[in-house]
Amino acid sequence: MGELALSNENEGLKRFWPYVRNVTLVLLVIWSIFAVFIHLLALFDWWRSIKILGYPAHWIFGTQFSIIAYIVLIFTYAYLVSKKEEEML
Amino acid sequence: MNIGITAFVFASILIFIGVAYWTRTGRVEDFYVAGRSIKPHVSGAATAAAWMSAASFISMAGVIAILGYDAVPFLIGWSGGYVLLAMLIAPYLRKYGKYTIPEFVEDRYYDPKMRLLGVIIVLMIAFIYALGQFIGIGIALSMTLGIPVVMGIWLTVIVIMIYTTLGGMKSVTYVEVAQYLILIVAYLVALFAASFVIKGYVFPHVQAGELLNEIVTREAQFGQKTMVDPFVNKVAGGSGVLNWIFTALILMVGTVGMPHIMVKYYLVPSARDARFSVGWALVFIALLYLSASTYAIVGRYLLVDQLLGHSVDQVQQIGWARTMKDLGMLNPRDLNGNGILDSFAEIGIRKDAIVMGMPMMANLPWFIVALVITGGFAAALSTSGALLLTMTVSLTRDIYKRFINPDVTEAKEIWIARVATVIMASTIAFLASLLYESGGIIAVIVGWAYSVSVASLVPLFVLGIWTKIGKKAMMAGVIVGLAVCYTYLLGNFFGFIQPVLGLGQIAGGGIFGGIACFVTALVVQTITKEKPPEHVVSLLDSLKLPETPRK
Repeated sequence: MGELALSNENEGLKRFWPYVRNVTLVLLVIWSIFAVFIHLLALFDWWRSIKILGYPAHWIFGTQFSIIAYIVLIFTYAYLVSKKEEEML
Repeated sequence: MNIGITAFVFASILIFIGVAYWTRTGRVEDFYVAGRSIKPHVSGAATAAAWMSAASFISMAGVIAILGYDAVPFLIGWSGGYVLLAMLIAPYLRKYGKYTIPEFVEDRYYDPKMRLLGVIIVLMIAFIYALGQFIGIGIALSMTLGIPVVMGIWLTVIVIMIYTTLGGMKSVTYVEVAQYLILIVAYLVALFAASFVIKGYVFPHVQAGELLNEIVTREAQFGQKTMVDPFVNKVAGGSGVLNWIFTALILMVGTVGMPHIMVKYYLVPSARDARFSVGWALVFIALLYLSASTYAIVGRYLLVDQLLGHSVDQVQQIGWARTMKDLGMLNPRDLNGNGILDSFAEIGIRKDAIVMGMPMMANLPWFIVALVITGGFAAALSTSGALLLTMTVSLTRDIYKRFINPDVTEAKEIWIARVATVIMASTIAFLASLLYESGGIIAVIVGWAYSVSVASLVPLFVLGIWTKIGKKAMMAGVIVGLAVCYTYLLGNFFGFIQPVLGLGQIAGGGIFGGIACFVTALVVQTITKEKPPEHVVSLLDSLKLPETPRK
């Protein structure tokens, strides 16, 4: 029984952990866009002159769209990892 | 003193104490981790209340109103960190399943000294954070009772001590849900009412773009930098694009290591619940954060419309301006002698006063003014309660019970926690009074806690969960990181250290402290090549396994 339990754990680590790691990595890359890179566009006049709902683009991305993107990323992560977890058990 | 407003505040205090009394408990597991039975959305609302402190409710929209786009790092920083928390820490902490943060540190780094180090860090972060809360409460009470802010800070100590010592984590969690409901209703009612009164807006989040353009046009006429100009203002002692980006990053990364938030993931039944709980927390937080910039636009419009371009004498004829001046929140001065107030420096309004003062500026009915003050009070109380509980649990469970008296009875342990709460709350109130007098604003003071978190607790957990780093490397990293962080924070605050690369206290302290911690830890690990013992490797592997769904 002990050997069987150990073998199941190793199998779990081999199949589940790489999936979690890859999902985390991909979502963190997307996160970095909304956390850092999109805001660097505020340096450019052409970006600031774009109006969305009457707001300058850099303003609405900084105050609204980034936060909404964070929520979507967290629920995507929770859904993907939890679904995989259910598949494995 | 306005009787109606005072009645609102005291009614809220009675609600909080009533909920705490109703949900009080004598079980240790309830006291420390609420029986691990809190549902994800309830935990999310409680986390949101614990998170949205005086800094979020009272200070954030005010800072955005005055500094414009340059204050947006507070907004994206205090929300973006939840993505990191959900992916890097929360589910693993829940799988580990103990009571306190330093307990994990001791087990992971297989040394009681590391637990002590964990306690010191938790206390440092929570202590700095709590300073900002007490200033916020002082402002709320000052506006309610018409008393000096410092007196408000001291009067509140008694209320907080009753509130935090009455019940354990179970009571605190349900009280936080009540506080969340009050603060979010207060914030949104004030925003929607003011927007409707000023411009007839029904959904200001979508319609306030027009108002923003009006502000920009008006400010440009006075030759001032406008609300939407990026990277022009000084924020937390620094300026420029690098300071903007790094302040946001430090606030995000620092979120991962906020001890009063990390403990929330011990309260839910499973790791799956922990993942979704982080999402719910951000949904509840976003209801306020997505409104903060609109609140800032409305507040700035009222200041521009009523004060900019007017003389000091004209301003002193306005009722709310007189009240704010008497409370020390407004100090209009014609600095350049041209007869009018033509900049925000000349208007001289405290950033922390804008959210609480906006209903008065918009001439809203008294009960909305009362609601906002009650909301600010709830926000500051909820976070103070969570922080004080985190500190006292660390002192009693991680120090007293672990090192001094392991056989202590449950009743004595709770009694010692109450004494610790009294001493801690009084010390914080004393320092908060000094900081308010020296002009420290809440958001910046709270920001310091994030820098310390990035330089210590974040690497301790991220490297601890995601790598097999040894204890010597981690201890060296944390000590060096903290030394560098504090040197920069205090040096820059007191003017001994000029901003490096334009980075202010929050950005510089966090970036340089965090880099110093990571680099030192990795160099020492390379030299010592220390491997964790087998039982620690097994612990780490167990955190990465799929978890059986709960029935």
